[in-house]
Amino acid sequence: MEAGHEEQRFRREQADFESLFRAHYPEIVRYLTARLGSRERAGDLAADVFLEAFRRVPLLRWRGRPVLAWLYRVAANMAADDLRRSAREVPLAEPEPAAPAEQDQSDSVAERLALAKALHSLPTDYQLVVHLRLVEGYPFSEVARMTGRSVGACQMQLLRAGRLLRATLEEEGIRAHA
Amino acid sequence: MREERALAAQLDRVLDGRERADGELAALASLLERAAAPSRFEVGAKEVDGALAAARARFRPRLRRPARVRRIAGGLALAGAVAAALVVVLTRGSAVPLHIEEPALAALGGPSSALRVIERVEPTRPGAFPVNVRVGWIDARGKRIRWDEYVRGRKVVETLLEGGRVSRYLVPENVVLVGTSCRAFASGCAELIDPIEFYRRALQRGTARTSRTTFDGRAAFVLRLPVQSLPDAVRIEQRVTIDRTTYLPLLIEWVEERSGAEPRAFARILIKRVREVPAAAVRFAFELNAPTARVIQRVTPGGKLRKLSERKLTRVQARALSPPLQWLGPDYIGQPESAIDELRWNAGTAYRIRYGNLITVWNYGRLVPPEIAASRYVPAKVVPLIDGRIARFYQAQDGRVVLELEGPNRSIALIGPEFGKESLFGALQRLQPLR
Repeated sequence: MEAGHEEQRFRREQADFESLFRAHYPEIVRYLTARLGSRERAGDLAADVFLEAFRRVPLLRWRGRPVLAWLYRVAANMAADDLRRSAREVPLAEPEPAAPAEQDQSDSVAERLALAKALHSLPTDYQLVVHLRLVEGYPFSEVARMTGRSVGACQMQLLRAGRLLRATLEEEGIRAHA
Repeated sequence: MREERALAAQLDRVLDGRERADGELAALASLLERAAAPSRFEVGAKEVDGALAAARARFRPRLRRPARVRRIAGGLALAGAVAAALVVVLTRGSAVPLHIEEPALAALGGPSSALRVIERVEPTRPGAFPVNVRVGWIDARGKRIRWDEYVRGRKVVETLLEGGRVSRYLVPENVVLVGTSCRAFASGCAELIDPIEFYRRALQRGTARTSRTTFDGRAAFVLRLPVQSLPDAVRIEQRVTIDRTTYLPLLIEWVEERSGAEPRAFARILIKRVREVPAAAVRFAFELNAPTARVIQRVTPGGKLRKLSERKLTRVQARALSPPLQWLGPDYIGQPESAIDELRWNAGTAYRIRYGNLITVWNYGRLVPPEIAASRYVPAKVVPLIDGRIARFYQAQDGRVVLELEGPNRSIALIGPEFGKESLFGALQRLQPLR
């Protein structure tokens, strides 16, 4: 029943580009902002992701995964291409921190910058799990469906992501606190 | 492993607030929350509407029109485009020389003249990296090229290619590396790639596509010269802007095109001066000015390169090597070192230290491992380090960026699939001897 409902949703999003765009554009922009460290570049690239979606989503076959999983994959690939391309042009400037929102006033600016940099340096699949679970708030069952991994594997990735962040911060002389 | 999985599941419950924790889990949960917080911003309805409107403008014909109308419109558009192209060709044919290659080549003194060139290599984003000034002598008849590179007014490298032999004088280190061919160097002859010489050869082949433009208020032509296609569907093109009166080059840009993306310039070279010089005047230009430098011979594999063996080394075995290998420590940004491999070819040995898929450190001496050999065409970027040494960014054949630190005994190269120049530069600071 649930699978049938999911497939119906998949078909609906395939047929209605505007609904697809309205439903998922904001989270793709948030994801790309985290990957690229720039809200402006994220907006440009999100437009490219949806251009690709406009061309390709109607041709997708139902394989038990939502259209959103495909959008994230395309966004991740485009972000990687963009980062590579920028790196080839010029050395990247210090990544600008993502758009400020709900910042903890107790965090120092240095820590926030170090944290943004540390997040940026995580392996890309870890970044995706952090984003899906903690930014978008999907339960792990949904994260697993979108990433094509098991729930346990996704949970492990999040644990490792946390440890990597902590290690990176400690290298910068910043101690993670509870 | 089971304990780890239980811990990971517990972390999930802590993040959800279903369970309280202290110690490591509490610290990790707090850290992850803080890391994610800046990304939790709203994308307002107005912004979504605007982005959708922009998207509609890009897709309008296909969003609005039914398939049959689309087909008819497509046919009409194609017919219109063909007609417009014919009109352009017929009306502009008399104004634009059909073969501007000839006068452009003549402006450089013909296919085999000697040239002195001064170039200013600018970043495509102003201020992003220091401007390099390159002074070059190109003796096409004698098949000799020399380039001197200056950063912030200081000469950092002299490179000479003569009779297939390459000599590179690392000025801050007072060392000359000599190779029997470009293959003796990881970055190949990337810094010897002379955009002017490349342009001159393309003119001879007559493969340029030409259009009109203006540059700095001057009437100009743009010549587009295809360079190469890299394996990941990247096409590289050299675009040369030449003065429409003198036919001399003014600006050279290296442009990268990926399928589905807008073309992007990744190198911008202003030609400050290019002039033909008498052959006699360049006689003394092809000598390196390095009287007291230590000379080190590099080798190029003769014949076909064959891999003889590949074996894993333990850290104990790796520590016993002399001179010591350079690595990034037991782990790098949380990724432990995962393998140390010794690779032997018929022409030399290299060591590869991997940190999972994150980053790989190569240590090599006489022979450049094929995996980090440079793409043939894209110029290298030279960056001086604080300690006076020179690091060199170049593009490997698969398009990835490599950072190379050339040394008299062993050279080091860093490469990471997701790493750009800045990240590689950051990793370079962590290099240390494996003792």
